[in-house]
Amino acid sequence: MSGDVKKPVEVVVSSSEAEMHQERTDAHRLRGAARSTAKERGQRGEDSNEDMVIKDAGRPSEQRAEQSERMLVNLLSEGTQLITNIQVAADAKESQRRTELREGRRLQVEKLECEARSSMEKFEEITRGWSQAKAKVIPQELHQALGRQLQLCAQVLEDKSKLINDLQQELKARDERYVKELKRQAEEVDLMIERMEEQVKTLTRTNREELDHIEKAYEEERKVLLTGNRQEWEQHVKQRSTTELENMMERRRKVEEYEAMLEQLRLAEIDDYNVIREKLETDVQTTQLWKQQQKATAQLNQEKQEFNIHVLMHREKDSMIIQSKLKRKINRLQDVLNSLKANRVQAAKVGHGQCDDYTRTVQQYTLMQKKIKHFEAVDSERFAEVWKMKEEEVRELAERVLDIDRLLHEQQLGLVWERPTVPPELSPSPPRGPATADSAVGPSSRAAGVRSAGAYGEACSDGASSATGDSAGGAAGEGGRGRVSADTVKKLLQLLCDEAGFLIESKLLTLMSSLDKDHQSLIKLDSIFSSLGVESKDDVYRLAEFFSNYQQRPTHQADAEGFSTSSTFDLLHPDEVLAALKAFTAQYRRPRERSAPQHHSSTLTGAPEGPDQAAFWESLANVLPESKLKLWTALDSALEKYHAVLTERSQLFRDTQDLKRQNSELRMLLHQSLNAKVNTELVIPPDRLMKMAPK
Amino acid sequence: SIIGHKACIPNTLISSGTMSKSIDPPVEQINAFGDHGPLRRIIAEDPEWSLALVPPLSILCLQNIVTNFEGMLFKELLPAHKEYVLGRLPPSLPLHVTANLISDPGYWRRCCVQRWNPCDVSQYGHSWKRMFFEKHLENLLELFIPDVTPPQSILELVPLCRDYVLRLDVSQLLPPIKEPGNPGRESDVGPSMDHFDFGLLLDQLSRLEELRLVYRVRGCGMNFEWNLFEFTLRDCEALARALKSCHTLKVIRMLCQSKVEDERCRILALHLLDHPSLLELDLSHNLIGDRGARAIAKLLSRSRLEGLDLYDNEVAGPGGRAIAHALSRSATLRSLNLRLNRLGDEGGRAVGQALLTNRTLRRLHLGANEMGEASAAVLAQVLVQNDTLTSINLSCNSLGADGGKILEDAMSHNNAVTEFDVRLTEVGEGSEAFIGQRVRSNQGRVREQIVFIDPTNMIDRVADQC
Repeated sequence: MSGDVKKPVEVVVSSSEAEMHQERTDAHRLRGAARSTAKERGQRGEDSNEDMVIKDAGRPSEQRAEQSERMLVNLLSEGTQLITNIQVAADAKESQRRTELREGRRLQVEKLECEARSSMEKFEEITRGWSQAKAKVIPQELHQALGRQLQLCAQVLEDKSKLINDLQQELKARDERYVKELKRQAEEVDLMIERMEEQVKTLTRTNREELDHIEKAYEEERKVLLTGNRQEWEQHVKQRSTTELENMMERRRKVEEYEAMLEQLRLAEIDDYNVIREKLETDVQTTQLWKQQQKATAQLNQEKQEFNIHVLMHREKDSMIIQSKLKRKINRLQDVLNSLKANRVQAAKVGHGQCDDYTRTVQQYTLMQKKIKHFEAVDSERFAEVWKMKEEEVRELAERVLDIDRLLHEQQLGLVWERPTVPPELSPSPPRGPATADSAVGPSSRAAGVRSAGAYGEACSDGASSATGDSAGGAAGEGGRGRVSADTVKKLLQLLCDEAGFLIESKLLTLMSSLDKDHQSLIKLDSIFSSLGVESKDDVYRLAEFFSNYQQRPTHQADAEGFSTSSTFDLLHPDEVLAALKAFTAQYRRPRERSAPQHHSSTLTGAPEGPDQAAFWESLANVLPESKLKLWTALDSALEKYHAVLTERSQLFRDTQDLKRQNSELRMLLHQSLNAKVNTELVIPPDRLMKMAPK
Repeated sequence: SIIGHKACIPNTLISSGTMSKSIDPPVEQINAFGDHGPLRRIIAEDPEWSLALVPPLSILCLQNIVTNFEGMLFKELLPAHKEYVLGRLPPSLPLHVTANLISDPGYWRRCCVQRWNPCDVSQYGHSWKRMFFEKHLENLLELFIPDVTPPQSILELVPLCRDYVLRLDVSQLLPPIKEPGNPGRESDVGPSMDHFDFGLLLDQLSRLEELRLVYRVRGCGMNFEWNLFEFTLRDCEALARALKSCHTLKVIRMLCQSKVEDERCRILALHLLDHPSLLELDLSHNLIGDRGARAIAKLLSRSRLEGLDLYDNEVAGPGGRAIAHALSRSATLRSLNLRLNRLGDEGGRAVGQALLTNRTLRRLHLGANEMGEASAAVLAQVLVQNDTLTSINLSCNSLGADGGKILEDAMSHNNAVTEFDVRLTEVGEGSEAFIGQRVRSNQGRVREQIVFIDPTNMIDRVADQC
């Protein structure tokens, strides 16, 4: 039980002890940690302080920190110096002691050497004394010598003992000094420790003080800053409140001002309002009065209007009846109009169609005429060419026949050949001028008359230009034109117009009487020309020519100059005009009447000179007479036979030629075979055989 | 209210406890805590105090594991259970079980606290395990007695601790025990070694970077004998070989007050030539003279040393010249400490001439070197021409007032030096004050530059200063 009792106690105690230890170590560690952190903080503080110093040295707290740091550094270095002073002093003392010691040792050594030397001398003297003593035989002397030796020895001993004594004393002194040194050094060490402790104390104290100072400085600075900030803040707040107050006052003042203004305005407006209202009320009354008057007049007017309406309605009924009647009439008339219109349209359609047909046929006719003329010219040209070609051909053939005939006669028959007569060159002139002139004149119609009338108009207005510029073809026309100037034509026309009035129908004269002179003469000329049969411009010119010729003929002036006639033309008496007209009509009507069928025949046959030409062709064809032809056939058959004989002979000749050649070849082969070298080698050469064969 | 609540519960439980005897242990414990009847008081500090819960079987098993700890079983536990077990493991477990198995800092902290109290884990890279092993190994080494302690006792620890030991700081090494009868007579028979032979150990510690050694006996008191502080030739050779075999070593701070003379210094330097990783060498408080200095100069020219400390030796002018010559060729050395030597003007001038060409040295300590005005003139030239040197200490030299004037003039052309000690050099107050002012302005400028360049750098620098 006692063990049981004891054990827990122990356990508890040990655990508590362990715990205490643990606590202590923990505390120790904590203290250490705190110290280290404090140190770090201090360093950091210092650090930051220095940083701040570098950044901005102006703040008092930093100045304070810097100052205290400097002070601490000074203090530290001074303290260290104070402590190390002892060490340095000890060093100095030690070195001094050593030099002294060295010096002392040197002196001592010298002294010892000196002493050793002297003692050595003495020792030598003693040893010499011994040798001397050995030489001595007299005991007194020996005794004396011994005594002296003894004395010397005693002296040496004394010296030595003195030296030893000195040394011992020195040793003692050294010992004492050593002890003293030890004590002094111990004291110095104590002093050093003391100073160190003091240093530590002062350092901690000053550190703490400086820390306090710095903290205080920071605190003060903070306080100053705080108060400064607070003052500033309060100042700002005050300023703000005053400005607010001012603003409020200002606002209130303005509000009052505006209220007063509003009141004033209101009063002024009320007065105005009253005045206007009164005026408007009076206006209203007057307008009401005017309105009643107007109402009365309106009543009156209304009654009048109603009466008018009644009258008008009545009238309207009447007009309606009339209107319906007129409408019916209009309808009827409209029907009539329509039917008439239809009739007219029909008639116009028919007339229009006829007119169109007419113009078209006329155009076709003229076109056709032009075509015919053209083709005629072309055909005649071709005819001439063909004629020429054929003639040449035939003539060539005839020449050849004649040539052959000559050859036959001269070479085959050996006869003298005489050339038969060859028909001379016949100019194959195809019908030209008169045919075309007739064809141009032939188709006469009224349209040409109109044209001639137009030509006269032109001649009247333009003179010669139109007459000369117009060329319808025909040699006579050209010649006439060339001789008759436009002026003469004009005069002639005027003459005709005056003298040939009998040719104009009397009815026409009456009709013309209303027209002016130019028109009259134009119409007159037209009718005169139509009766005369003058239908184209050429006719007009021909007429003019005829007249001029007729005038010269009776005077028998042969070949008078064509151009001078115009001057003499004036001399044609109007009395002779009728005779000249008669002659003209007699001369020109006949050829015209004849020319129309002639024209048609020429176009159909194409060769009016037929017998002449046929004879020509015939003579060409019969250039070789009949007898000669017979001769030719006989000659032909004889020659045929001769030819056959000749061909046979040539064939035979060729055959003989071939045989000759073969013969020569065979001969050569034989010769070769006989002369070949093989024959010499054979037993029986062929040549011998050949020789033998004939045997 | 909690107390009231808890107070009412035990009554019910007590009644149940009387009914059945197989009660869960906590209740029984609580019952048994006070002898005077039913208990109403509880211990409020016990966080695991619980009346209602019967401990689960898993907890019971874990408790059993804790009491009979074994490696294999531990590996298979769930993380939560591991935590539970680790929180309860006793620190007295054998190392061969725990060394490579447990990495939990809590356990090792308990181990350290139990053995060495107080502990500053920050010096060990905040690793409790590293601290434990380093201190453990150091203890073993410091208590090693040659020929008495079997070397096996240390060597068997090596495979356990080789991954965790980065630094060894051995503050004493015991000499072999001598027979009281005939002291110093058995030199020929003698012990197998004069001190612990590091050749056994160093080549096996694959991560060792720093080594501090002192051949002395602490707290000898009235038993003082000179041979307690002796660094014998045999020790020296063994150590030199050991150092050569350890390729990861970067810093050697050794032999302070160990009476390293020229001969031993030469042996060491010879073996350290072309060491692949050595960066810093500290041979302060020894008896190195000119020959040793020459050997060190040779070492300087054939290694990548960045820091050299020859504080309190006996290097005189010729040695100073040799070191200066090496310094003028070195492209790595950053810090040189020749304080309390006897360079004199000869050595001082040589060092100054070397610094006219050297562009890597940052810190130079020439305090207490018996230098005079001639050295001051050369160093003034250095101050004008060299802009890499940031810290220079000329205290306790008899530079004289004229030397002070020259240095003052030179400082007015210098922007790089941030520390300059001319105390006790008879330079005159005016010059000293001017130099101090100049240095302070340089400091301020440098700080501003650092702030401008990189704030984090600044923090590092401040941390360094603190």
